[in-house]
Amino acid sequence: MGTTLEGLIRIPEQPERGGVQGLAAGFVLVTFLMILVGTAAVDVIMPLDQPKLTGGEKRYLQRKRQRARWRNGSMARLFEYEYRISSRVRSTVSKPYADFMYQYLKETGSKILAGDDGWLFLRTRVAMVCGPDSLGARRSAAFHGAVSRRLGSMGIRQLFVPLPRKSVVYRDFLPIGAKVNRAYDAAVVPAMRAQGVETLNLLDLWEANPSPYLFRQTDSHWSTEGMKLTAEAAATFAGFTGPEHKLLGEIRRREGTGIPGDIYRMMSVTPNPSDKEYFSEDILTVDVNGTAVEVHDSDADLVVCGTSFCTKNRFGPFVAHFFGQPVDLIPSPGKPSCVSLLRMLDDRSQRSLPSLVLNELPSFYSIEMGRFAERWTLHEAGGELFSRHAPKKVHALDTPSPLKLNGVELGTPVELRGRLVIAKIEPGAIAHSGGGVVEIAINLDVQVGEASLTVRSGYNNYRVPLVSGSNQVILPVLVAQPGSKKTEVLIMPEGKSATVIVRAAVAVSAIDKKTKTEGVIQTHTVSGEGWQQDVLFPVGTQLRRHSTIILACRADSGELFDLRLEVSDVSGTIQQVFEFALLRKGGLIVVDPGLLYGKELGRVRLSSSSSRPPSSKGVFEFAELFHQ
Amino acid sequence: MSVSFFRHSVHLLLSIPTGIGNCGWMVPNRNSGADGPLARNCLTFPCPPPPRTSDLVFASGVFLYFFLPLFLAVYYVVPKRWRSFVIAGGSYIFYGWWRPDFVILMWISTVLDFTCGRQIVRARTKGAKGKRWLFLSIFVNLGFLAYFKYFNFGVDSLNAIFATFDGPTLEFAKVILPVGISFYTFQTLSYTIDVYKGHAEQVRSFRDFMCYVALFPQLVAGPIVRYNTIAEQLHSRTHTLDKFYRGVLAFQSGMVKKLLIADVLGSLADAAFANSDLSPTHAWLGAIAYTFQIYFDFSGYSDMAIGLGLMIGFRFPVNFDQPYRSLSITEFWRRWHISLSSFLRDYLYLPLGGNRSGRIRTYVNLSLTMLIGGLWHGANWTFIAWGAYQGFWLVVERLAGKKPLYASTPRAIQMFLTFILVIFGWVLFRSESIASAGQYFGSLLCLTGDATGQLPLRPIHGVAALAGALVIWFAPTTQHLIHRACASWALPLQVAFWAALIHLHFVSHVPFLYFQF
Repeated sequence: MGTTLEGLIRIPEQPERGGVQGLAAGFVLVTFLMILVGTAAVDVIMPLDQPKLTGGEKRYLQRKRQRARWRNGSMARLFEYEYRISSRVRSTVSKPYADFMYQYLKETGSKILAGDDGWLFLRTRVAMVCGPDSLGARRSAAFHGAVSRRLGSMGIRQLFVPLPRKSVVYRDFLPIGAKVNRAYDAAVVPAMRAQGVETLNLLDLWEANPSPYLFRQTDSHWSTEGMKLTAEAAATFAGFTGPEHKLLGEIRRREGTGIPGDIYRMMSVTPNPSDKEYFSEDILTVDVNGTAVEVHDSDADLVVCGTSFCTKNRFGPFVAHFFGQPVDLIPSPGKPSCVSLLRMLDDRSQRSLPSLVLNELPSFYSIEMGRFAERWTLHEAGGELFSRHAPKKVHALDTPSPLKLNGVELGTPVELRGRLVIAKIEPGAIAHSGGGVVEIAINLDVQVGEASLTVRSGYNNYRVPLVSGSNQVILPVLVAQPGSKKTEVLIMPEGKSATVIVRAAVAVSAIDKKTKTEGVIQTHTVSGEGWQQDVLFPVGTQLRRHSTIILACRADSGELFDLRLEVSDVSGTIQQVFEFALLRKGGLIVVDPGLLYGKELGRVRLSSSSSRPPSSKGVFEFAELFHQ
Repeated sequence: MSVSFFRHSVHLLLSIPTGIGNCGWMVPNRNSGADGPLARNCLTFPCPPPPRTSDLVFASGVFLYFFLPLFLAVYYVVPKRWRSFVIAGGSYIFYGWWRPDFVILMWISTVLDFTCGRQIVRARTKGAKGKRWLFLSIFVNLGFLAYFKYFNFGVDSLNAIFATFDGPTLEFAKVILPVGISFYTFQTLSYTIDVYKGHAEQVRSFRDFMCYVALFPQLVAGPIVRYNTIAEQLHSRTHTLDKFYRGVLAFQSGMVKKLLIADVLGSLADAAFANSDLSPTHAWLGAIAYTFQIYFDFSGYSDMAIGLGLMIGFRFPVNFDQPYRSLSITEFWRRWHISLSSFLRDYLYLPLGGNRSGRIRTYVNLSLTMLIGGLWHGANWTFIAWGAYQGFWLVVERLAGKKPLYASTPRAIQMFLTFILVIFGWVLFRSESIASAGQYFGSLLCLTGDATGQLPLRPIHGVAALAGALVIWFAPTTQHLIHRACASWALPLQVAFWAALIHLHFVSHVPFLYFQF
């Protein structure tokens, strides 16, 4: 039954209608058409207000709208997206359905993972793509190192506080089948420290103190316990003993708070009063020797920068308590660290700069920052920070410049309609450990129109808006490892400017420095293939934070392969090893032996076991150690 | 070594941008279920946007609440003689929503086959056969199919062979697969072949032919509607409220299958085939989840297509007839994707000689037909292997006297064993490569040692699987439901349909699996 001889669907020729069957048919038809037409009518006549987006999301949507075209389907996607977010019917029916699905089937939608015992996790924070050997963390460390150096040049000490992922700390509560890679988070701290960034190791600390819960179960943020533990650890790490704190108030756990948590909100779920929520009473009182400490002070010597983890909560007061001093809290929810730092520098540069910045940043930012540099906005504000807050003293390197000018006659006004590469650094021209020590100083005079300067190195990209008139931009060169993409410095028209006339006056490689120590190069004979050189710095040379070793390759040498640079302390123990695949002739080796901070420098040995070039005596002509 | 010259020439010929130079993913993507990073309730952290397609699927808000009501309104308001134009116009909008430029490809196919059909008839009146017009149609249609569907596969395979011998690599940018090209190409081919063979009359008007080729309800994922089965309906079809009502029921039934069963189990199947370390139990669960998903997804789409067809007066061929109740693989192929298997039978198996040229030749023909049927599903060795696997069992059953090897067992056991054989086939079908299929078979057959990987099982999977099992083995077919259209089925279906609509709001984008074939 149901098909014709030709296989077509069969319809009775004389359908029997009437009574119940007729009523049912009428009901089905009317409700079907009413639902379709009614939904469309409600959504068109009474759409929801557009969501208020900020920062990267806002820019993303603006870009999406500008680039939408019918011909490639992007306009259709935009239309569907706009419909989804403005549909009143969708919004109305989704909420009770989400409630039902969560309460009875523990369904959480595609973005959330429901774990055991009421724990909820953001799916994107569980299954992250990091690449081999935690590449993302190591790459982003270069950027954080450059920021730290720049802050250091202004006399600001940065204490970097990467927050481990909730799904890593409480991985035991993940649902069956969900795996999280702890190694990604664990790679962040050593990568940062190798770049000389003072970094608090919270992952080990939190894993050692998992209870009371440091994260809220139905929220992506930390609990009061997490804030307290972190603030205390930060103070100890930074060498602050804090006040005699006999009274902090009491942190109590409460149940059935009715506080939904942002993950509940994402699921459109109304919290169930019987849900346990490990959230603390806000009863903290900071009391120093009987005198109440003023927690917030916009001129405080201690600043807390960060994301939504330190906004409108108790982290600021805890920091103030354990550090024993008022705190200036500058959170930028949902934005990468540089936005907060930039706000702080902009705000405080005309007054008094702080001496210590506590920079909170979730680890996944650091991990994904390096991994997705080309399509992420994580470097947002980085370029502006570097350009607007230049180091006070810049020293032009004595060594040949690794910058290769792209046929642009510097000093001559250039009329610009599209982008123009004014300089580039070829792969292998600078071989460094990933840190950004060498800087480039460029003077630009924007005579007509609006323009921006962009540095693209494959994994650390930033953009600097140029003002009309004279600009001096000093940017750290964060080149990729030798052999990867070249770094480009571009000028691009901005806004509605069809034509821009720019005069690039000077482009030099430079370094911000306070003092310099020169080293003597000693060449050894090695048996078999390869070569070896030692760099001898004066006895008693102390490494400071962000001390930088620069070795200059002779311009008449050949290309060098498979280099290995060992930095030892005075006992002869190798503390750090840097390996480089390629260095072009006339190139620079730049390393930041961050792990030797505070120690006396012993031997620096450069070697290669490669047979290419066969004879490379005296490949390096001089070595310098710059101290910040 | 480069193939850019060839690509450039083809583009010049077609004047159609193929997406070469874009991001390189083939669309539609079976896993594109995620929202963009800007969903209203998204956390404020920016995320890298996933690649997404924008095919106007039946189970989408834009189709249901805007396209369909507007289309139906216009269709029923205009005079009858204009209705085929409305269908063609609506179909072009429906199809072009994804990529407007690919509509040009469909126009070329339409004009070409209309002309070829006309020229064949004209040649016949002059005493000739018009063979060259038939060959032109076959050459161009299969050429399109070969280029858009198999170009990437061919170059990848060549590169793999070259790589074995340290040879050069062919550099090329990925060609985007136009949605539904396999379906409408077969349909237009069927027209020319039927006209050539005298099985069908020449189409009366270009308007009707446009309508036939572009007919949106079945355009992108079937059922494959052969011209001679629908020719009469193109110019004289009836529109009754009863037909419309039955169409609504079929459409609702399809949507429930798709949204409440196929999509729910799809997440489990995706997780299973992305995990290379599954324990045997979970590997079986994953394979069963996919077995259910592909049936409910594809038969759900067919139901919706049949329903939409009825709403505008068409009766389409039935595509599924309770395939998982089959007692043998031979029977399975009489019940699964009926429009494709009958197409392959009539246009490939029988022209090859069918079973009229001896036993050996019959087995060869069967195997070849299934191999090509496998390749039709997609450009991947897994599809070819799946076709070979199906062909193998058909040959085995033919050798055993058109019955399975286990024919002597009770019916329930036969059904169970056939179901297991089908599951093994779907593992080949779903795996990304032959190697990963081998790995999955290892998990299924407990050959992977201490594999402990688990699937993210949730209560909703159990609910959907139970509902699916009830529908597969106990519920009547959709064609039965349409034929009877009784209140005792129609009213509970409404509740399920409303739930599906709400679920549609709850989840985001839900592409159909068969769009990619």
